[in-house]
Amino acid sequence: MIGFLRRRAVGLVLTVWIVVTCAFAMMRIVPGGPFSEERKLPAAVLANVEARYHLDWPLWRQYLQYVGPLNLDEHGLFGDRERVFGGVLAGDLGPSFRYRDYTVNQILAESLPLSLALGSLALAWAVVLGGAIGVAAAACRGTKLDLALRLGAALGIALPNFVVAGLLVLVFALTLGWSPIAGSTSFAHFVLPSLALGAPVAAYVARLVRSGLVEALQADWVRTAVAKGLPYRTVVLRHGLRAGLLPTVSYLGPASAGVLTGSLVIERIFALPGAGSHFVASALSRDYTLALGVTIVYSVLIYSLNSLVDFVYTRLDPRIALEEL
Amino acid sequence: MSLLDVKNLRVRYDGPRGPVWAVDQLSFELSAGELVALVGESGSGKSTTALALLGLVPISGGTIETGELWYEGRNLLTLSEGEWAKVRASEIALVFQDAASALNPYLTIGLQISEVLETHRGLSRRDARKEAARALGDVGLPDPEAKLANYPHELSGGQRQRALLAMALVAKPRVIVADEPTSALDPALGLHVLELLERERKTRGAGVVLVSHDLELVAAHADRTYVLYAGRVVEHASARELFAAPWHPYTAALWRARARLDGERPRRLAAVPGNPVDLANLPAGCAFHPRCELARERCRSERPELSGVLRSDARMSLSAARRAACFEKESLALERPLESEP
Repeated sequence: MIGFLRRRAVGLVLTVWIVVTCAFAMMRIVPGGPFSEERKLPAAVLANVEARYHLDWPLWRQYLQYVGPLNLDEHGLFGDRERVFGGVLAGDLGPSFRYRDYTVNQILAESLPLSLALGSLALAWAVVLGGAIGVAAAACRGTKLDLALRLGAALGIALPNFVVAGLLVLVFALTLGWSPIAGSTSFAHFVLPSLALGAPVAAYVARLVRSGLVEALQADWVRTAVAKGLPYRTVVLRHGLRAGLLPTVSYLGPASAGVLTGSLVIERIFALPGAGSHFVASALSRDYTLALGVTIVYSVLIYSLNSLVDFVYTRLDPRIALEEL
Repeated sequence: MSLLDVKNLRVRYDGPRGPVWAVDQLSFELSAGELVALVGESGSGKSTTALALLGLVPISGGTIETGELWYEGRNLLTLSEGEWAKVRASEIALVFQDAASALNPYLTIGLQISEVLETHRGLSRRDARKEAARALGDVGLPDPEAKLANYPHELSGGQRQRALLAMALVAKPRVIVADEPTSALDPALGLHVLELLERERKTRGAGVVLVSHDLELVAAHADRTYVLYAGRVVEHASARELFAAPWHPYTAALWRARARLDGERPRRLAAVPGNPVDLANLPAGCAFHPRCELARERCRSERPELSGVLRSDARMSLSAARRAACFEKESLALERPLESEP
């Protein structure tokens, strides 16, 4: 266990470093910059602004300033000027280029918790609803119930989440009045957005659980379980489900990272100040530091969740040893 | 009175090339304490018959078209799935062929054995585990308590097969159906498994249906033998009679083709001549005729029924129950007695 965690910690650092380097390079290759606007700034002003953010430095120096470990910045924009160490290695993601007076750390600290909460709730829906639907469909495969559930799941995948969100608001908020329409002041405000966010994931989970379980139920040992006279429920849940869940677990790792980092569309519709919009806006406005910051958050999440998936695999399948991962 | 009585069993599988009857008009019976063998090549219907005895044909994709399966005054083929569940493992148990795939790799051996007792005998988990350890000890596994916590992949092939046997025997079923229980084992272990089955029938009168292609094994252990070809019984006799003087050319060919471990002159592993039967494309008349050296015009058009012989002759073994489905059985039995062991 300790060895596994140590190996994954090393892997995480290396992965994030490679991702940051690539993302840094890509941001700079793309034409335009944070201060190139339609109305051109006078050359002197632009030079001043760029000098303030060290955009006049050679790239290697900017990269070193951003990643660390040395604090090369003398204006104190990138964290505390007194500190010897700075940059990402010191946990400092730098100032935002667009939201003046805010650091990336501050922006993420304000928006991420909301997205994480919303995403967790959406994932809970996805796992519980999707899992139950998948198991039910697999257990009665070939029946009308199976067909109906599969159609529902296909619909859930096909419908864009803004349509689902719109329908949910129309029915539960506007018509029935059971839920607030938008905002983020109480738990009730999160129910509809998390349902809309989780719906496609739930539909996908349902399909994966169904197909995984149907395949698992073909196994010879399932026939053995039937030959032992076990009740059908035991056959499905004890002898089929473990193997049947493996594809779903693999899918949920990366899918969770996407859900937890928020959704631009859902956050706009329900007026939630989450992190989802930053993923899109920062890249478009060339807010170099914010774009890199959300990239780092996303890659850390992806890597950690995939490690969690590997760990869950060892719990589900005794033939996979944690020591070998 | 027989323990198990199978009448006119007919099992259909609907494949991509049309319907196939894996078992056709098969009848046999089993008495308490008896070991009856079903032998034949692959595709002869012997494994399908084993599945049918446990009501497992529907979940393996087949349909039972006709037939009766009498056990303790009940025709089991009329049971609902819920009623079947009470019979399986408790009254009639199946030992599968391949322990590597028949045991669930995700669950411990202990759980897989004790769940049988929890389901059928209503034991608590603790008592069931105790019984499971005893069952593992009974089949000769060393250190059975520790084995309870093992997963199947942590056991050797022979241990797995015995664990599978323990699982089938643990609820003390009155009928044990063993589908090629020794084919994955080396001869010594195979013999051990057979001894364990022998013990079950001798000590508590369990009936055993042994499905096998291993004729040496059958000759040594079975009381009676049914030879299957293309889903039908082609010969039925006591094991001793059957191989001393087969009536059906297929039985004779099987016996000649068996792998000989004791042969003094090494020779190529012989096989029954011709191609194994294609169930989707059964020949008219006797299904064996394309491979039979005795085949005549009549064999190509007319199917021989399972029957005894009319003439009595001192050289023919004539127990009353002996039957074969061949027009030439009398000439085969009289004119071509098999050479005795070389």
